[in-house]
Amino acid sequence: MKEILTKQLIIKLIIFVVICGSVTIAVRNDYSLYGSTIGTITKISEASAGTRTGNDGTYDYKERYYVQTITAVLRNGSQKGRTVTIENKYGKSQVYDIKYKTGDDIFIENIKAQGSGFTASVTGVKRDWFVALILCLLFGLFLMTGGREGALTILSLVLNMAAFYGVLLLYGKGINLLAMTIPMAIFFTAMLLFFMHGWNQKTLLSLVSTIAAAAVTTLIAFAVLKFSNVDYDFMDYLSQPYSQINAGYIFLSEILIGCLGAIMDVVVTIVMTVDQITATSDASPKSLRESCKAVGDDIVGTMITIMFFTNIAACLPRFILSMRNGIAFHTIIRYNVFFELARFLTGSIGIVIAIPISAAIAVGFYERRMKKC
Amino acid sequence: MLIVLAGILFLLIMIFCGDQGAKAVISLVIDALFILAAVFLIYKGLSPAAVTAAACLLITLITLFYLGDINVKTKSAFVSVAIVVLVLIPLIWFFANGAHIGGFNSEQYEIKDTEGYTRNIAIDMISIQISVMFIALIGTVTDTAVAITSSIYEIRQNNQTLPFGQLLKSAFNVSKAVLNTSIHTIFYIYIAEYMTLMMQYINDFSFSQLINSKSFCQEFLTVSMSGIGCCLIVPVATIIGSLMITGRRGHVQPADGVSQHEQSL
Repeated sequence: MKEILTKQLIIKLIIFVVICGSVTIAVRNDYSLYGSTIGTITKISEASAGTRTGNDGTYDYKERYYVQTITAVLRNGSQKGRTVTIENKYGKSQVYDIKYKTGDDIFIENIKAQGSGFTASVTGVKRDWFVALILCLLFGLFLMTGGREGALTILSLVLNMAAFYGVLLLYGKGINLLAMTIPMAIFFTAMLLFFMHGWNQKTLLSLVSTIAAAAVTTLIAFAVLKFSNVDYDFMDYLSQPYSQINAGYIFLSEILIGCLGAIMDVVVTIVMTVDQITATSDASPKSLRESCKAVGDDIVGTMITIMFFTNIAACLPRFILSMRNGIAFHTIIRYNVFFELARFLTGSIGIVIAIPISAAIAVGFYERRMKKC
Repeated sequence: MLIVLAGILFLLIMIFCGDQGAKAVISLVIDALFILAAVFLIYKGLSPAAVTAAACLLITLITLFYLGDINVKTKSAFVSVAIVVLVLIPLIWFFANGAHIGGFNSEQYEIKDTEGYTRNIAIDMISIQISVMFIALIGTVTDTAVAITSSIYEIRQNNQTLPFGQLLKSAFNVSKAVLNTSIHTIFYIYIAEYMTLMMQYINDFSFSQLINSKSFCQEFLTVSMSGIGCCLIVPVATIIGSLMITGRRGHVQPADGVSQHEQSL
């Protein structure tokens, strides 16, 4: 184990912990940066507020309700240091409401003098330091495990987010989303491939194959979408009112972006394989295609598994809420989790279709080059 | 539409993939059944934590030992996944509980009391959110672990006499590339998933509202947890893989052709 635990690594770990700790403490205490009033909960007393019954058609569910009397000290603004009392009602399941804990930082509104003290209402939790902490953890781990590549990954993620933000800003100005997503997808792919492998023939081949595979996938999705009636009412977070056509564009953009990463992954693997084989032997195009198929076969299973879990996980809460509301199983699949399933299926189609497309492009390229020699 | 898409996917797998592709379809169906069973059991009132733990274990076993084979590669991948998941349990609990990210949020227009949903469901939504974080994590972590242990195995196969330190070094080089592609795969899936949410943010939210909102934290913490899992699995799988693969080789080596060959030289 000596090879692993070097002095350098220990120093890195210490720096990592110190940075994470100090960022967390700094962000946790950035009360003065906020215009809205923030308080820290110092004391909570709880009382039962009875039970209510929910029903899913067959069973009854007893939900216990509680009222919390929260004492909080204000941390910023003109009334800093003042103590206020807040009432908060929550159900034990915390479907829409929150059970607060001592030590939580909360946003406070409507501060009023009442009797000898002050009352107020709570509007939300101050969560910024959790975001800061997890970002530190993530980036620190990237840098420690990935080194230079890790730094490039962070850079490319940040650039991607910036490009994406720009596209959304333009969308807010009324420009067609799909028309912007397509160049953005090409830009993402080109940048990422360039970061990972430098500027050479392999990158160019991967770029062409990725774009081709993503285009085919989106076209398949478009064709299927054209012939079916999708109810966008159930699309997560979609601003209402919406127009059917516009929602369709948004959905197609989602499909395009969603399959991009996985397709790139498959394509790079295939192009690398072809490159490696042609560099070391004079394989015939036919045997090259066979190798591509074998390699593709190996990765397709796990890639589809990733697609499945990453897309499906987020709809678990909705699934359970709907079931306990007595919504029939096939209705949930048909409407409530429709978009997650559709994205998973199109993403998987992208993964599978990327294999023959990239194999054809890569093998075709090397074939032509061999003939020239 | 879903049936058409599923049909197309099935057809494509049948055309372009061989046995392994068929296996992929079967293991996917089994995974989906496990998830549905888990949902159903939670709906019936079993503890979400216990159900998720069992589902994750079964899914990992299927993905590793059915999709792959039972060998030293998948075994070491399994040990690595188990270690990472155990490390992440307290971390995920801390974030989910501390940041209060269970339940639904005001940005989800389609799920509200006014739409006729009852909130009296008697299931703790924070545990459900923790389950979500684990299920989102398990697919990526398993895949990354297998990719790493497989390449360590290949390196070892090609060079039996490589000293342990050297093996570890070249294994780490491969692992970095694996990390990069895994991160981007999940990153794009999440961007797609939350595109509509981000549109809302741009229209209605200020930055300080954004980073304190429940919806953003739910998504962001879940994504980041998957990312952290991916990062952690890289050193763990590299070290465990190297140890287990060389360890087994070490026992076999005396009877192996390699040492006899050296003696005859």
